[in-house]
Amino acid sequence: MSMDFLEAVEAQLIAATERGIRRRRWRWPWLMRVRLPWRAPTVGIAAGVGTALAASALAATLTLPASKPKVQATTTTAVSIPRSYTTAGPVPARFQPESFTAISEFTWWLLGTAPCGAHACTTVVQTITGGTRFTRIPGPPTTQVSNLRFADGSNGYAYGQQLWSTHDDGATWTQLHLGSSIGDLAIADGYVYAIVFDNGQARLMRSAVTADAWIQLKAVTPGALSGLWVQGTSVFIQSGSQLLVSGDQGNHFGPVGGVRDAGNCSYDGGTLALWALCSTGMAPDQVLLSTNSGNTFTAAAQVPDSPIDAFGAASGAVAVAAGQGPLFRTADGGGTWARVRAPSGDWTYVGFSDPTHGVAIGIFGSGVHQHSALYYTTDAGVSYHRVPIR
Amino acid sequence: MTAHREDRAGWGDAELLAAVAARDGAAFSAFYRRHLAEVLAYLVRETGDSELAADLAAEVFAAVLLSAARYEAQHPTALPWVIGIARHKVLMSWRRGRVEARARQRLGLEPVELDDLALERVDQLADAGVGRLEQMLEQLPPMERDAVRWHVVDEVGYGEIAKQLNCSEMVVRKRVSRGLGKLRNQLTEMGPA
Repeated sequence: MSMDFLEAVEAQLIAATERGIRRRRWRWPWLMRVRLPWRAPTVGIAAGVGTALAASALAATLTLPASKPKVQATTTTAVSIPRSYTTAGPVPARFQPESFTAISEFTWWLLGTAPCGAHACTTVVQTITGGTRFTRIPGPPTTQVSNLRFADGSNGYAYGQQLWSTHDDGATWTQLHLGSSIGDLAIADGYVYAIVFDNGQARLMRSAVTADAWIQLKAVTPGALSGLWVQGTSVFIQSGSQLLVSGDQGNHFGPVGGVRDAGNCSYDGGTLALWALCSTGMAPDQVLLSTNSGNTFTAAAQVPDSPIDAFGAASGAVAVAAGQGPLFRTADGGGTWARVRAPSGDWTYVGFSDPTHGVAIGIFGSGVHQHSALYYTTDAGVSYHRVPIR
Repeated sequence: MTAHREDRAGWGDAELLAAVAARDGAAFSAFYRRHLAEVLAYLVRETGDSELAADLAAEVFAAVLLSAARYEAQHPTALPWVIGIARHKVLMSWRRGRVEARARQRLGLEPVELDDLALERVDQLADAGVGRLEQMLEQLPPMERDAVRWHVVDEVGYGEIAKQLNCSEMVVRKRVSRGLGKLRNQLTEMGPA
């Protein structure tokens, strides 16, 4: 007898419990600046479900106004009604950024949602002025994406439960049917890589960014694949408790040593300076740094505000970490951490695109006033200023 | 799984969540089964849709897993905390126009197909959850029941309740604490849904 929905959910969550929680994965990018002008990470904003919610409600006696909009299911059986801004125009009011990607200091895109009638519609906005002015570009006609990545001014990908590609800067989008969902996606050196979930397994796939010609990379055994990131021709992937690296665009892989139970860590940086954020059980999150391609790691000082939800490395000495509260920065390779000049929030993403420029996304406020916001640094994370998206 | 769910059935919620944070799958299973019916009851009531409720319940328990290490026992039962997560997920889903799936995405979970039989079970569990909650609340002494309803359900602060009842904040805290303690005992006695 097959498992029903609730049992299947339970089984998946038990498996997730036993393999451990993987922290948000960040991208590094500073080393890539040698080859690309500005490659930036794509992020998804996670809902803040921390201790602030501890005092809340017993269920059954609550009622809510009937006028609240109906939400759309994400189960595979649900019918997906496209709700998206598919035309160009001004940035809609109350746009909420979720995912950030950039190809230069001046050209960025944000994927998020904005109200359209009674619904929240997928919205993509772009700036070519380094964030001083944004315009809406056509987005994929779906709500089943939450991450956005562009390889250059033409080729980009929106992904999540579905995968869509554009090869004309968002003028048209095509849905790609590689599997049931996309676990992670990374772009570098003219190739796009994706962890594709299908039939209970995860596969690593690759395509040239200029064409939707995907192949499975057989050097990685399908199974429990999680984090994925790339640097030039190198591809890093977390497979079970191992961290694997390929130096030939994913054709062959070998293990990266130096850190125990690599599946519990997230990574940032590259082969010259590799940072790891590791989370094990009830122990505080630990930041580690390797300067010899991951062969050995040195523990950094404890970040004051553990647990850490977001971490980004600007260089081999500078990194920023955050959870719920302030941002903290180290400028001495993790020896000490100092508070960053930025507001406290539920930070969901911190990343750098070169040694001095970076972004952070956080959730601020509570209840109906809760909103997400984009912050930008031009001084290697010493301070961040808010970027109005309009 | 090296341990069985039944081994954990007598544990308190705080113990279970601490064990979950230490990768104890059996503890997660025990916690899931202990609170699933009430969570579904809440979500069905909020959304009016069993399919959405089931989808959101999966997200809620994924968020529980992600947040287990941060749980701080403020009440004898973690049910208010779990329902708080559920309420947050509902609010976020309304805002976004689609069911929140971030916790599941973060854990790398795959979508699960929801068929008619599963929906029937969701409805049954939700009904049981409503009944259990109502039944438990009704069994509390009136002053404790009101204090629990106001503070936990309506999220009215201790000070405000104290003003309304013309008593001290400490008295309200005691009533809420005692009421929740009795609810936890009832949950334990009633066993899994």
